[in-house]
Amino acid sequence: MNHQIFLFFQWFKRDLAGRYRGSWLGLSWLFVQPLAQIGVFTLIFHGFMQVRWPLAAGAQQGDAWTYALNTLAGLAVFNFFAEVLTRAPIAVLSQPNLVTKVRFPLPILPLVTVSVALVHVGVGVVLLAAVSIATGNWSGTYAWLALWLPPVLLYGTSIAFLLASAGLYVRDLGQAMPAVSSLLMLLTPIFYPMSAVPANLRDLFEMNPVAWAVESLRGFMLADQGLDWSQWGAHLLFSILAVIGAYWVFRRLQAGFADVL
Amino acid sequence: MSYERAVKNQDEFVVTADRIGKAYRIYRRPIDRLWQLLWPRKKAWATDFIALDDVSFNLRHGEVLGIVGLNGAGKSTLLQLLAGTLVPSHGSVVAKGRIAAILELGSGFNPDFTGRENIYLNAATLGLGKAEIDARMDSIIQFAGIGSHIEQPVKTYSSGMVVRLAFSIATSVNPDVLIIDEALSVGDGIFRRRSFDRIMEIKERGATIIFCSHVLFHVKELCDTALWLHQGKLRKLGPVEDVITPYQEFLDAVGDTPDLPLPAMGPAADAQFQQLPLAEPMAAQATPSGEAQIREVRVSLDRQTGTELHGFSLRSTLEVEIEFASDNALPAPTAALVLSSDSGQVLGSWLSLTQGLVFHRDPTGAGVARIVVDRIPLNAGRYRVGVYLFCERGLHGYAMSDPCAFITLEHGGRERGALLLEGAWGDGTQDRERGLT
Repeated sequence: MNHQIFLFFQWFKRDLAGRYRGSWLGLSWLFVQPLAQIGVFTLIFHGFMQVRWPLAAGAQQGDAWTYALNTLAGLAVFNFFAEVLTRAPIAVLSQPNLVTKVRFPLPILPLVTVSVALVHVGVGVVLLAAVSIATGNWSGTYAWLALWLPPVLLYGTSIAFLLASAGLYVRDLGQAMPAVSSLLMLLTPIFYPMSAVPANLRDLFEMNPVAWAVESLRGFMLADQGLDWSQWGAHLLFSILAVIGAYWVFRRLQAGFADVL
Repeated sequence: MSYERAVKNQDEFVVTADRIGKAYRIYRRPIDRLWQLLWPRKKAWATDFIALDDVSFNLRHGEVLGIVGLNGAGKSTLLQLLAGTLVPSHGSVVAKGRIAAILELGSGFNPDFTGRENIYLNAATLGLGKAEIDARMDSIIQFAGIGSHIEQPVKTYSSGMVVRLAFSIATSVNPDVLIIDEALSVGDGIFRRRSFDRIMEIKERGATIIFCSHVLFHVKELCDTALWLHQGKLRKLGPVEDVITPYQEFLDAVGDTPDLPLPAMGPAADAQFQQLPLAEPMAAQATPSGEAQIREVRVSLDRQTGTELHGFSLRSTLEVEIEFASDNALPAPTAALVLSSDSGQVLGSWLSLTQGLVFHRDPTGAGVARIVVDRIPLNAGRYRVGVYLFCERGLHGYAMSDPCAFITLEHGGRERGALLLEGAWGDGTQDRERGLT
C-alpha cells in the first residue's frame, strides 16, 4: 500500500509538473488562467450584457465584484469536471507501455487525472478565501468544504474510471468530450445563478451533480449558508454507488486493455 | 534436461507455465470488444486468432530459458503473458518472487524531468519503493555513466544517455525473475559490453531469466534451456543445443538468416560495430577504455598489398595483420577473419577464439593479430575480406572492418560453387590396391 501511494505521488508529480515545467510562468499558470477567465467573463456578461447577480438579502443587485466571485466559484468546480472529462479518455490511452510492457496498477492513472484536476478546485478555494480574508468576510462556514469535497471527488473519480477504460475501446470519446464539456459549461449555473433558471426546467438542472457542487460551494463560501443535509446525503450515496459501478467497469474492461492497445 | 528433472520437485519451480495460450479476438468494430467484456456470455462478438497455443514449461531458480522463433511466432505474446501484462485466454502462469520485465526501456520517462526525478518515476513504475530507490540511486547513476548531467532535464540527454539510464534502472530492480526482450544490445560499444556483463551478473546471482533474441549465439551462451516457437505452437523445448541446432537448420532451409556463422554479423548487427571505411584505418588515438579498436588492417595476397588483390585459387596465400588498441583492464580481444562473396554472403571464417590464442599486448594495450591462410580454397571470383574484433568470449563485437580488401581469384577448372572441394579422383583401382573396398 505504501508503495502504491509512493507510485501514485510520482505519477501525480509527473502529470502536474510535466505540464507546467519549462514554461515561463510555471505553476503560476494555475492562478493566471482562472483569473483571466473571470476577468473576461465578468467584463462580457456583467459589463457588456448587463447580467446582474441577485443577492440573497433582497431586491438589490450584485456588483461586478459579486459577479466575479460567483463566477470564480463556478469555474473552480467546472474546470475540475472539464479537465476530468477531457483528460480521462487519454489517461490510459497515452501510456500504452504501462499496459503492455510493465506490471502497473492501472487504476492509478485515472486517479492521477482526478487529483491533478482537483488542483483547480484548490486554486479557486484559495482565491476565494484570500478575497474574503482581505475584505474581512471570513466565515466559519468554510468548514463545510470537508464534507462538500467527498461527493465531488467521487463523482470525478467515477467519470474518470468510466472514460479512461471505455476511451480505449471507443476512441471517439476523446473527440466528443470537449464538446460535452462546453455544453456542460453552459448548462451548469456558472455564469448565472440557479435561480435564473425558469421554474419548469429547474428540476432538470438540479439533477446535474455539477450544478449541485457549484451552488453548494457558493452557498458556504460566499453566502454564509451551510450544506443542505438531505441533498448532500443523496449526492454522497449516489456518488459512492457511481464510483463502485465505474470501478467495476474499469476492472472488467482492464482485462482487454493490452489487446486493444 | 533440467526442465524434466524439475518436474519431480514441484516446490522449487519459480516459473510455471501450464498449457498457456492466447487467442486474440478479431472484432469487426472496437465497440464490439467493449460489449464482449461487459456481456461475456454472448459469444457472437468476435472471431478468434490464436497467437499462442498450449505452451507448458517449468523453470527453477537460476535457470535461463531462451525463446527463439521467427517474427510473429508468438515470442512477444509469450513474454507478455509471463510478465503478467497480458492475461492468458487459457492455462495459467505462476511466477514467484519479484518479476522484472525489460520489454521496453524507460516507461513513463518525462523529458522535462531531471535524470534523478526520472529514476524515481521509472523505478517506482517498475515496482521499487522509495527506500529501495534511495539505496540504489548512486549505483544506477554510476552504471549509466550520466555523471553530473543527472540534475539536468532528460530532454537535454543524447539518445544513448537516455537508453543507458533506462537500462541501468531496469536492471537495478534485483529481480527473482528477469524477462528480457532483445534488450542485450543497447547503447554504444562500451556500454553494450557492460550491459551484457550486467545480465551475466544477474544470472550468476541466481535469478531465473527468460529472454528472447534473434542472435542465436547469445541464446547459446546464456541459456540452459531453449524453447522454439513456431506459428504460436511449441515446436521444441529442451537443452539449448538440442533446440538451436535444428532451429538453425530450419532457418537455413527457409532462407532466413538472422544469425550468421560468426557472432553478430548479420546486416542488423552491423550497427553494433565500429565500422572502418575501406582502406582508411582509423588515426592513432588514445587507448580506448572499456573496448578495443582496430587501428590498422594490412591485407596481402602473395606479397602484394592493397585493397584490390589478385591471385589464384588453391595456390595463393592470404595474410592479414590487424593492429589493434585495447583496454588493458579487460582481457585481450579475440579476432576473426571472414571471407564473403561480393554480395556479402559469408562463405567462411576463422576465429582466434577457436585456436584458444590470447594475443600479446604491450603495456598500453596495443597488439597485433595476424593470420595466414594458405592455398585459399575458393573458386574463381571476387571476394570480400573482413576482420572483426570481439571480446574474450567472442560474444560482444568491439570493432569491424568488412570489407577491408577485395581479392579476385583465378582458377582454371570449371567447378561450381564458391568452395573448391580439393579431393582426389581415381578410377577405383587405386582404392582396391590400397584395400579400401
